[in-house]
Amino acid sequence: MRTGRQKLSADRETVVGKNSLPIPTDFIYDILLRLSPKYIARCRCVSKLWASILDREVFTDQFLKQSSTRPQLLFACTKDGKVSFFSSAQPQNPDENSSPLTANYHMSLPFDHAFKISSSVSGLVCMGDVRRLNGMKTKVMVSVICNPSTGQSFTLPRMNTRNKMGGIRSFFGHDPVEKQFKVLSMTWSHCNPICEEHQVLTLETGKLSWRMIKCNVSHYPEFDHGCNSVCINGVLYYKAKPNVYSSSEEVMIICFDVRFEKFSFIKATKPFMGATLMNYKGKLASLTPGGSYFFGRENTSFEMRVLDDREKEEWSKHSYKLPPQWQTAVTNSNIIFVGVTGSNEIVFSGHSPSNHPFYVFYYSLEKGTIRRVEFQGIGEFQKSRPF
Amino acid sequence: MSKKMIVLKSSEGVSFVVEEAVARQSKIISFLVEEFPDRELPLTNMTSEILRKTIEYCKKHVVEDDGGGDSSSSSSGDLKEWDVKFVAEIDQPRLMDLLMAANYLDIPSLLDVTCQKVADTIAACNDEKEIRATFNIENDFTEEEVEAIRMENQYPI
Repeated sequence: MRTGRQKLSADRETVVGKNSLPIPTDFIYDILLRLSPKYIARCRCVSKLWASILDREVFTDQFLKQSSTRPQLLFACTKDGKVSFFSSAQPQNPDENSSPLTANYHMSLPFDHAFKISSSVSGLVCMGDVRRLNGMKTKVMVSVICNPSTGQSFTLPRMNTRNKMGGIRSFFGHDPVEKQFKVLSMTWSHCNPICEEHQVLTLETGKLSWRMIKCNVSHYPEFDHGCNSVCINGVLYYKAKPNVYSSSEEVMIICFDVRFEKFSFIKATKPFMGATLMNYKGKLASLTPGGSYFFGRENTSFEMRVLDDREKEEWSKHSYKLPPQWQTAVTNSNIIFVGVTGSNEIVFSGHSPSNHPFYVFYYSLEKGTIRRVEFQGIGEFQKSRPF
Repeated sequence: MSKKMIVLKSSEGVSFVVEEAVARQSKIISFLVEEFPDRELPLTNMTSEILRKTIEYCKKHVVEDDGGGDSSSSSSGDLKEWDVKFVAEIDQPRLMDLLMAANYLDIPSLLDVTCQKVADTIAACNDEKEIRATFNIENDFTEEEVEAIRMENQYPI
């Protein structure tokens, strides 16, 4: 709260303390900003005044700005044909031996075969599911957008494609300039080794539809790490290879400009095989386990490459050796890179077996220390992963 | 050394004798004390009840902000807990009055806890009807308008 503020209003001169007053108009904005996103929809129905405050762009901007100062870990857990979302605040005191944190439940969605869950983009998640729609013989792929903070979800219309029998990949991005979310999908047929149809859908009010766009960079997206992609400053990055038959050493990183819907690419090399892309201080970073393709208890080093200059394609390379505590803290043999926190910690997690404590590991790049945080409330799920 | 006291007067004309350090948490009083030393300060738009509550809050907080090794000084966690209890004991109409008082007297931390309590009360309501009833808000929407907003709300962004 700012200090030294004096709000002028008609209520100011009224006698305070005699009868119940409605919330003073000047404070409605401040008060509504403090609410969790899931109550905002309800508040829009209260009165015209409240709706007009909530619909102002300045409110949305401030609301998003505030929530970005409270970083959260989002967990997606699958069990019995359902995907459930949980979140928890990032543990704040890196030096304290943290006690277990409780993950808060947000929402569940029924799924036939959730095969891909995108990283969260400004709080929204895009999921791919292969399901049988009403009256159809074969299962089809649909994309579902969900907002775990508000508990809402929305199934996107199906794409019209010539490649009915082929494959499909979808990526999710955000354009901070036009403030739009877009889904990029591409399909290929079994007889063609590259994706030949690229379509974009903009999330907006009204009827949603797919638009065909041109792609001048022929490529075939990699499927490792569940189609890992990252959206930084309006550019969506994902790994691909020139065509389906190319060796996985021929890595390229596709850069999709979400606003102008244009493709470009960064030539990558062998070190990027099996890399996980993430956002490191607003720059594209690639993390790879040292030594082997998998990362886990036995593997105690990793490398991070940071794209310092996008135009010159200049990467800086950093190698890290995990401290001896790593092997005592980690029981899983397969650990994934989750992301980087604001305080320069790399976040790792493992797919833990059900009914085991669920751990997230934080490695401080500056101090070289590792800490383990247990998250309660999600242990019973078959498969859980944080974002 | 005896502490300097000042006198605040409520709308009912009741006088409250308060340590200056306590009252100075209000930026307005701080200003008035310097402008008009040794004078009773009339707070004509504040009832005795609300003034008493405001002083109670300031008394609790002055000890902590003082930092002068006072043995009764509690940790910031305890203070937070105290704040939560403090606003929990206040009923809805008084809460609005206290919020207005915090604004009028310019006590940012009290304004913060009262605003937060209002937000928590909104979150605890089951639907918009309960919010309107709790806060005395007139429904100026038609049925159709509410329905239209509900349709828009289904969109997850």
